[in-house]
Amino acid sequence: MTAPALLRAIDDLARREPGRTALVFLRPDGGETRLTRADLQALVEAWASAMRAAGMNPQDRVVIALPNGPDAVGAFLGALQAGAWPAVLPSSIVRGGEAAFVRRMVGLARDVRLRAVIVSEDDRPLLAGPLAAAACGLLTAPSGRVSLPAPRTTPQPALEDVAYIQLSSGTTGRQKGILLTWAAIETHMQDYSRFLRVDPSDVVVSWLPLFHDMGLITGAILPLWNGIPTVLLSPQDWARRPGVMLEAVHRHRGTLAWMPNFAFNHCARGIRERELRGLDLSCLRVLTNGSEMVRPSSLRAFVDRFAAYGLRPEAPTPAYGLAENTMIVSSKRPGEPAVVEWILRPELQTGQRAVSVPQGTGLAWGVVSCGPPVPGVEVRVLDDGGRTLPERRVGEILVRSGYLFRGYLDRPDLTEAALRDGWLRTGDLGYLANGELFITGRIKDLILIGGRNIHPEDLEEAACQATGLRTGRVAAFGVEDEDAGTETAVLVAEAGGAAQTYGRALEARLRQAVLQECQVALGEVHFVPSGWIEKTTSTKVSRSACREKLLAERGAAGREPRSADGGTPTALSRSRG
Amino acid sequence: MLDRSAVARQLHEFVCTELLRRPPESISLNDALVSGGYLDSFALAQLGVFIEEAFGVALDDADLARPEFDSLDEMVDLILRSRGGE
Repeated sequence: MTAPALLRAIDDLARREPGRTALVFLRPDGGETRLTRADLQALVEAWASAMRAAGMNPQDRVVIALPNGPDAVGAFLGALQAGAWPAVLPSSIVRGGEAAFVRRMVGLARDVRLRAVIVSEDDRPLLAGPLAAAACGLLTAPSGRVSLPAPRTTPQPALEDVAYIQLSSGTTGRQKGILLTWAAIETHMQDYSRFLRVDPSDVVVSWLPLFHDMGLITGAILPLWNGIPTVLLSPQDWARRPGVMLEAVHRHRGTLAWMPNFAFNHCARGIRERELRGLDLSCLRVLTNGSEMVRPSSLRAFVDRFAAYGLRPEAPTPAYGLAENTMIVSSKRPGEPAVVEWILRPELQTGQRAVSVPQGTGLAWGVVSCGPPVPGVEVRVLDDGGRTLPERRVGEILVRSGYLFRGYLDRPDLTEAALRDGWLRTGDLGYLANGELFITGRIKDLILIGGRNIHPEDLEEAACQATGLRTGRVAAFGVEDEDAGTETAVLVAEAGGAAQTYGRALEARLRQAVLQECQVALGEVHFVPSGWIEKTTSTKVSRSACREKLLAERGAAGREPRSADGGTPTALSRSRG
Repeated sequence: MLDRSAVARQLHEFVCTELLRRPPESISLNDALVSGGYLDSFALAQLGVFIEEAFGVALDDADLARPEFDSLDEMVDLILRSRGGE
């Protein structure tokens, strides 16, 4: 049996033109590490050999927690070559977050029965003891590079076999392992690459972390599939200096990039004029905006700021996707302008209808089209009763394609709940108009910050542990932060007398705990009177009701945040029945 | 010469209204804003741009990432020191 096409590509590319650039890593120190196709092949082989030598067997579960860079890509592809099931996770970089990192790894080792965790030398001392106690292996970068391909003893996987695990966000227990098959990845790469009209002159630039589904696929897999170079940055470096990405686009003539909506705002606000001097961004033909809600104001701010540097107005490309569909569901077509609809808020909230009106109409809210479903994907919108809705009616989005996930790792119950007659329930709300998909909200209780899915339960648990408050006395939810182009995390706590006596100290302790446990800087913390937190009939915290209440109180006090897009309608999240 | 209280006032206002969106009286000059979970790296990057535009002080990433760049007081110190060192 032959190897999957993605693995064959590593060798084919190295054989055809070994000296061509495969990967450039822009190091945070300002230097550059460049790998030719031959270098990449050798790196992948070295990792694969090291894993086989360490006793890794096909289908062994392995976590790769390395910072962005050649070794993270090499370890991922090496694990695939060794037949293991790799999952990429964040390394421990966050200051003060070491204890949470160790707990997460040990929890995974136990719950997911990991064969090994792969980390940097820096993280090794943190994990050596705890992982040994959990009977889980620990590997760091192979010291000597192997120049000759090691003999392949691994039986080749079949297309319908699982290739890797995309871990969702969330702490242990809430984290789901999304299983993707070789067939899913290859079919998606084929269809999506054709849709984007990827050709050999394309160059990918990516600051996205490789543990993010969009980061892994677009920063590593798509370039390899298409035989084009990828220019990778450190996400931490980008967060501090967003200008490095535009500089990379200019210097390496980047044509394709992907980032979440908030990054458009961060670029528009966080770059000094002098950093832009002399940049020519006209090469960037598709800059996909995906993995959180696309805001009209974000697209506008980005184009306004960078048009003077040659940015094509049609380059920003709104898209919608999720890891359970490998990556992309729908996307604006390359070369076409982005479409924004203005819809009436009252009709949306009370009638679940998207009534399109001219821009500037009172009570109108701007919604960006995420384009038509990409080839191979079907989209339906259903009402609460499971009936298919016509165009312009808002309901849950369901997706079917040739590259849906195989299921959640070890959780057939969750897999069953996510699928309905072969269709994936996305938990997102939206509508179709002229065959294009518009996202308006979501049913699930997630908070989406900067393209990260955050479970409110994780924030609440960290807050309760730090303050001694009982579950049910704390609620976390997301509210729109238009300036940032994303959501901000709000935490309300019924802290009673303690809030009066220790208000500031209590808030500080709570913020610090949430930062260290969940790597989230809370946007707002409110101490509320006893009984403020809304409950469902089953006495569970109703986060959506708490959110409505806070926004209503704020609206009544005249403190509604300013907004150019008409703000986000407040009744967009419904709880699942 | 930059006046310390003027720098502190401007910085305080920017951090509260633009970055944290909370009333200025809720943040004091010695609150730990970075280690205390108020400002993340994105907010810090925008703060760097503001400091350069408002005070003409170019702080590099290493400055912004220092553990002692945490409270408004410490930020003002660094701005004044950088100015003084010109």
